[in-house]
Parts: sequence; C-alpha cells; structure tokens
Amino acid sequence: MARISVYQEETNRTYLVIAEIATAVMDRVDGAPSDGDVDYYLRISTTIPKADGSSWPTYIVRKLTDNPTGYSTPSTFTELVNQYIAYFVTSSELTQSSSSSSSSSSSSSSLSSESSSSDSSESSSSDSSESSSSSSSSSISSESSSSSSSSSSSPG
Amino acid sequence: MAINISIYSNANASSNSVVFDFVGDVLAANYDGYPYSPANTSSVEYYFKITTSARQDNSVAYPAKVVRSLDELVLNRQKQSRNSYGDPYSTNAYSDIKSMIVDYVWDYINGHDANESGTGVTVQRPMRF
Repeated sequence: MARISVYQEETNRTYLVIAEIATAVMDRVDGAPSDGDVDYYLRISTTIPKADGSSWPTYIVRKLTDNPTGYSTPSTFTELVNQYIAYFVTSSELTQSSSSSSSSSSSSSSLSSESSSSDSSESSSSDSSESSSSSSSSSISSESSSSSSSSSSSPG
Repeated sequence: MAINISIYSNANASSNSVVFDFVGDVLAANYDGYPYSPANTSSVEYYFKITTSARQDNSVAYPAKVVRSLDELVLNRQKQSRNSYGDPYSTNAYSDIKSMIVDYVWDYINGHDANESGTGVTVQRPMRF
C-alpha cells in the first residue's frame, strides 16, 4: 500500500492519498455484466476534502486509462498516481503551498478475508455514474459517496 | 494492504502463495534486462512489487519483481508468457492489471527457458511444491 502525505501549510494540516491493490468479483466490468471472474485492481482514496467539504469517492483503477479527466493517458503507475494526487489537490483547491511526501507499507492478508471485506463496498463498474457530483465529470470509475465512507481503505 | 494469491498443487496436495503489493518508494536498483535507463533518481515511483517465499524446483529462490507499467511484460519486460492463448509471446502491453497479474502468476507456476522467445530472458524453473 502506498500512502502519500499532502501537507497544507496555511492550515497546518496533513492529508493522505492512499493507493492499494485489491481484488474482488465485480458486478460490472467496463459497462458489461460480470462474468463472475475475480478481478484485480487499484483503489485510490484520499482524506482531502472537496472544495465543498464533502468526501471524495474511492476510485477504482483497472487499467492505465482509468485516470482523472483532463489528464493524458499515463504510461506508468507513477504517472497515474501523481495525476490522482494533482487531481485531488487542485480540485479541492489546496493548491497553495502544498507539498507531498510518500511512504509505503507492506502487509498481506488472505484472499478470502480480503474479498469478504471488499465485496460490500466495491460494486461499481468503470462506467459507474452513481458516485457524487465530482465523479460525474470524470471518466474514471468510483465508488459511491456512501460506500466510500465505509471503505476499508480509509486511513488507519 | 497486499494480496496473497494462493497456488495449489493438486498433485502434491500443497500450496504456495505469491504476494502482490502496490508501493511507493525510491527505486535504488534496477531489474535485470530492463530496457529503460537505470533508476538513478531520487523521485518516488509507484509500482507493483511481487514477492514469494516459494522456491523454484531446483531450490533457487525467486527474486522480487517490480512492475511499473502495463507494458513491462513477464519475459524480459518485452513479451508475455506462452500462456497468452491465441497470441503467445505477445508484445502487446497488458490490457489491464488483472491480465498482468494472471500472466506473472502463470509464469511463476510454469517457468520459462533461457532466452525463451527472445534474447535476454533469464531461465526460471517451475515452482516447487
């Protein structure tokens, strides 16, 4: 799991952007009904609040084209994660004097326990439109706002 | 949080696991045969890190593997494994993360020969159970 700290000098607050690998059977993939097969993907979430104070959804990344709207298709996962960091920071209007650093931690869990915790919260497809207003303007998939708040990827 | 992918040997009634994690670190070393320039930067990179405590059938440990992009294919970063039904040894980038993971796991299980379908491919024996 990669945890990126984003510091805002004006408020002396530090936020997190978290990117982690996950696995589950999805109900829809690329707009098509599930084939019942296990999928592997990245979950990208943040504690940065939106400009209106609400929370960002958790974004599901299955391929490099699942990147934020307004950015070119990244060629590496480094570019992809950096795009999400920039997207969260700029869209949330944290643009002044913000700096970031990152760290990573590694842990493992069994596939069974992983899927049991994620099945209930990761049901959106890549063309999902059930998320909050911010993701409706984005091509990337996301969980709904309500499921995001209960997501297992929350910091801590 | 990483994920464990269990591999069960029906013949031996035993299992091994391969761990996939997604991390952000400064890469100080590079992978043998990697076609890009050496990682001589202080910048953080985000990538998949693949590890396993399993051994090859000659008892040699597997090195940790790093995948920074979907075009870093399993055979010398240049070709997919012979598992690619209909298009073995494809040079196309993996279409998604699932395809990448499935191909790497297949290669752990079955191994490959030295220079299999191209030069610069280091031999990897099948997984021992």
